[in-house]
Amino acid sequence: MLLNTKNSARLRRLFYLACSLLLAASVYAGDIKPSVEVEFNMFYNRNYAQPLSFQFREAKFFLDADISDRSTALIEYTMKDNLVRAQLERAYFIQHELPLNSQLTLGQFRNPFGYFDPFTVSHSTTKSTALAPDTLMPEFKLRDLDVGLYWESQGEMVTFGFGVTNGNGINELKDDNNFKDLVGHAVVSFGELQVGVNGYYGRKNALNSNGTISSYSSVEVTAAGVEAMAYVGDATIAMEVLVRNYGTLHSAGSYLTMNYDLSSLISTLRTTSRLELFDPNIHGMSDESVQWAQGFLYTISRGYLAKLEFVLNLEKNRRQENEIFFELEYEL
Amino acid sequence: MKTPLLTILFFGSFCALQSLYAQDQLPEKVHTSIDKILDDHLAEIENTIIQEKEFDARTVLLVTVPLENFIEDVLFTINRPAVIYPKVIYKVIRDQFRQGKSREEIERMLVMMQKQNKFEKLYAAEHQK
Repeated sequence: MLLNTKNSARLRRLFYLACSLLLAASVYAGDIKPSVEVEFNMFYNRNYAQPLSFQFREAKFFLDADISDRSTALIEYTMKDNLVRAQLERAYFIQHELPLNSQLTLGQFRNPFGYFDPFTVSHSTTKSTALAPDTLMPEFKLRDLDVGLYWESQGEMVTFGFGVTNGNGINELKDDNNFKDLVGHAVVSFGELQVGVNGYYGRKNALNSNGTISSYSSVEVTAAGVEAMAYVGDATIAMEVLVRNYGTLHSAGSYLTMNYDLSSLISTLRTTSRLELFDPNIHGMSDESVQWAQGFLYTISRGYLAKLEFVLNLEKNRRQENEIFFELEYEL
Repeated sequence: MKTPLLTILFFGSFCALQSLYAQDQLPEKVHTSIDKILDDHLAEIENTIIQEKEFDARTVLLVTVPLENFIEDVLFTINRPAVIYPKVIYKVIRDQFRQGKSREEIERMLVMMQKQNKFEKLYAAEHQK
């Protein structure tokens, strides 16, 4: 994590200085758009010593700049877990409208393939699931890509892209991984149905016996996914099946998620359902998890959102870990 | 806790200040990867229609929320910036209200037009004239 390193204080000062300068410029130029999102939530888990708790779950700071008609840049900085854990989430430049209706992204960005982020990534209600980015499950962390370059072409029927990334991972300041990792993604659209495949190949530093990252040895990492997305009436449905090999560790997961617009029932209400299966070690015994997350999102007014979510573990022995969230989000 | 809250306040006050200086004219075309920016532009379209006082403000307010949700679901989920055409969207909403369409019909129509890429086609057609 960015702020857990020795350089954290200096980096934090530099970041604040850069933000201040950009923000000051934005007041005059109007081409740089800053924004803030603050999420405050009420969380219930009966297994905790204090089952009912309140916290600032997340604060996000954005700077979105229109550099020209065809290029934009974005900086996203987040503070999580009662605002104590901070990291630079995204920082990239995009050149739009290149030949073949393509665009080029350079910098630190999230996964450019699959629907790995939970649906409604910006208002996600399912962050606690095993496959979601930034969870404690390290097996899929590689999809938080490092600094890289990604090119994508969008056609009427076919969209495809590939990229190369470098570094130890998102927000890792120590750069002793010089392996170039490759990512690829292709999607074919049939009317309101999209079907795609994605893949990742690279090498990551191996772990020493004490759990620290080794600078001298590496393991091969491969990941592949098959995905589909469809619009059915007022619903948008997406699914993905993915497998991953990290050295000798083989993991697999899949999810089926659906967003349904309920505005015909109550204006601006919608629901998100997500079924997720995750097996962190295919050869391990009884380590699979099956979760159902059901969320409701209501736009109270511009900038104000209310969310209610249930995360249910479908295996009998994990039902005591079921959770309920109620969250208010404010966008400034 | 004090520093993060001060950061939010500091950053937030700049956002508010920036919005004071923001242009009040609807842009032709916007690229963005941030839901808040998308939200601002769609809110601006609604405000423009409301300020014209031709239609009931309560009917117009939040009429673009289903469209916004759809764009976030489909584009932001796969980490692709959304391209929206505020002037075209504004004209479509205004014309549909003038034709006597209900709010629900307009909400559905906006999502349908986004699915079928019709805003981009209307924008291209206007710029070919």
